[in-house]
Amino acid sequence: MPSAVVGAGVRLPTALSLAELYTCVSLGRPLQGRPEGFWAPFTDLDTIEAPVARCPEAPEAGGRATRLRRLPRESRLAAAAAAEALADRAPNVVGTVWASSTAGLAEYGQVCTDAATLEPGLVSPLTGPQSAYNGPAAAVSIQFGLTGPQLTLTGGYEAGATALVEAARMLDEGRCDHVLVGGSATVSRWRLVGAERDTVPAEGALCLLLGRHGTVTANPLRRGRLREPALRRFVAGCLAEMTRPPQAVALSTAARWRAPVRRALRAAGGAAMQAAWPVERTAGDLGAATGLQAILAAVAGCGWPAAGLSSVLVLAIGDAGDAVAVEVLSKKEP
Amino acid sequence: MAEAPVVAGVGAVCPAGLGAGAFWQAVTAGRPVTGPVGRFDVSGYPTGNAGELPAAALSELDGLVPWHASLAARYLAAAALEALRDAGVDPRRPGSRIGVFAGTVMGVRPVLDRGILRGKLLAAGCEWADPGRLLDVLHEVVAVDGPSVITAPGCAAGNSAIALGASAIAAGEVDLAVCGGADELSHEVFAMFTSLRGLSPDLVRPFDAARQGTLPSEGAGVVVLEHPASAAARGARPLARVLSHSSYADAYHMTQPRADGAGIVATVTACLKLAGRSAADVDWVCAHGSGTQASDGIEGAALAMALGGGGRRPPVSSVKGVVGHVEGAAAALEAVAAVRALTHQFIPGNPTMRRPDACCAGIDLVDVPGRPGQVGVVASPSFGFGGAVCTVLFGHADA
Repeated sequence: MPSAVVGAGVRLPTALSLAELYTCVSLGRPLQGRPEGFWAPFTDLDTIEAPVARCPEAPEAGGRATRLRRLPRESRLAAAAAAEALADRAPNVVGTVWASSTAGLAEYGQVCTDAATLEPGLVSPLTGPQSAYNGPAAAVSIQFGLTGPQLTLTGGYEAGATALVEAARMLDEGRCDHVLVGGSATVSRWRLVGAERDTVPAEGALCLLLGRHGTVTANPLRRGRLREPALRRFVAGCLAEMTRPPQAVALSTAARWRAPVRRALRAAGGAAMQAAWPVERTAGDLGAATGLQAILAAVAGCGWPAAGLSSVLVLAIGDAGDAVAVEVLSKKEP
Repeated sequence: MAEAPVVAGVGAVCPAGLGAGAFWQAVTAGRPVTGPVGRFDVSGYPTGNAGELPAAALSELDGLVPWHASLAARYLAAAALEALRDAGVDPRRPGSRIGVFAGTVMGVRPVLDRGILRGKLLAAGCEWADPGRLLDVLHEVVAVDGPSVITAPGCAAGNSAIALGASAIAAGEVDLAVCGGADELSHEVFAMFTSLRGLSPDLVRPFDAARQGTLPSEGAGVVVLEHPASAAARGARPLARVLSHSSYADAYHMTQPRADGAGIVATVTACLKLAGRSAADVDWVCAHGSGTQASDGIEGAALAMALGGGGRRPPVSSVKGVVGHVEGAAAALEAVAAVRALTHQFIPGNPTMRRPDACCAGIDLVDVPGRPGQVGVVASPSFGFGGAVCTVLFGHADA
């Protein structure tokens, strides 16, 4: 059964709504970051100045501002996006599936530094528990009382799309009535070490509330670990499996896969190749959440009347070749 | 779940050494393998014990898997190789569509804290920034063509990975699922638990009235799940079955479990319902039992509520008294223990428990040296910081 989009929340440097996200990715202008200085005290990492993209400060999430102030910034952004997606709905059993590669990394670095430079035992008891990947999922679950399965996924760009696949499976198996599937990122000196050079590291959060009924659906197609010779077959297989030919392709591909993916899409042919959106370049690099960013761009294209799309293919491929394909459809015919 | 996936093989790496045999031997002998930390300087800390692989085991690891900055990545690959070979599958040519579902808490981040030395952090690499690097070594030694998923929902990670793998098999997405968890001993985690006053000065004593905390540890546990038809087609003899799994979120507090143990009750009850079993069918609970004041009493009471009643007290023990708390690998190692209990028809005891906590009066805390007998169904609950709870129900291969 397809997973229907019931709600959405967007807190990105380039967009605070689905419509703004669609405009951003469809225009195709590379994101320009703002240079900031970053340092990592007590390490041999150089101080650097790097362009990054920041979000506007998260507004109060459902009147929870006091409690939210105690959360790390990534969790605050996640809660703000979740508040928007959940709106005033009070669904029964809601699962949480969240993707992040940066959650807790700055806190981890802080604890390491404190452990090296302070007396043992002087590390803040508040920082350590926030130093793992699951902070945003836990914060969202706690803030909004979501007692369905709670899952955090991490990895490369594909992890955000994997989150949707696992969320859809939870619905299929009847493990919950709705799933909040989200992703988030923050920027710190620790993250910039591994940032891809041709994308702008961004912070932000975004999520979809999935249920069983709605006019826009997101359906997992296939996923697997690829080597380059298998990419064309993978793309052709996805296109053959789609309910309708895509009018656009939302891409979230690690640098080394960008050219091979474009070649594979060209080889497959079709109108969709005229509209390929590399979201990591236009809307910002959100690490593991970037794959979900591509899905939200597709949802925006199919759900926002002005965009007028009814079928978008989403391809997310991480650096190691792990690929996830999802189709996003609206009920109207092209 | 339509057709329960089978467990085709198991693998383990822990402070007892390399291999599921070393792990099970330590567990059944009731021999704690935690001890003084040697990997980093803990001289100024109020406690100094944890679990870490002995030097001989680390040397042996060099002969099994390629070098990597992340020990967790190497532990995971070594356990996966053992589990696949145990299953009779060639890791280089599995002959079936194979996916990886790996759980972790800190993943590759300890690469960052290993540089802590004389007040200066010598960060020589950048693996910590890319969590996908956890699978580097595994991908080198296993020909994975299905999905590679890293799950990190706190200390329920190992069970969460097993649940995702079981669902992928049930959905027909893969024939074989390498499911497990891995973490390495981290100075950061040691400092964190010190700040939370959560470390035991000597041993982890799950369910003991005078328990003083847990001990962080390291290792990996892997179970290879397979579709029953696939196992039958290649003539493999299953070790056990994943009867069901269930997940829940406490939605309560970042570090404190709900006092009513609602997550454990809900997931254990749901597992029984999904598997068509009753509480009386559960022969052993391989408990989370981390030895912390906050959680053991809650878990004991919750297990009594979910599985007890009518004078019945479910048999319960925790392997953390032996191997410590292996974080993202904890539930995966407990899955290996569950499978071994089913194949060996033996319930391990609680070797470090001296006086049972009164909160645990509703459960049957198994004494050393353990209990031989009929073991047909094992429940393995897990939970941790952040409130994610996941329980897996294992059954005998002939179930």
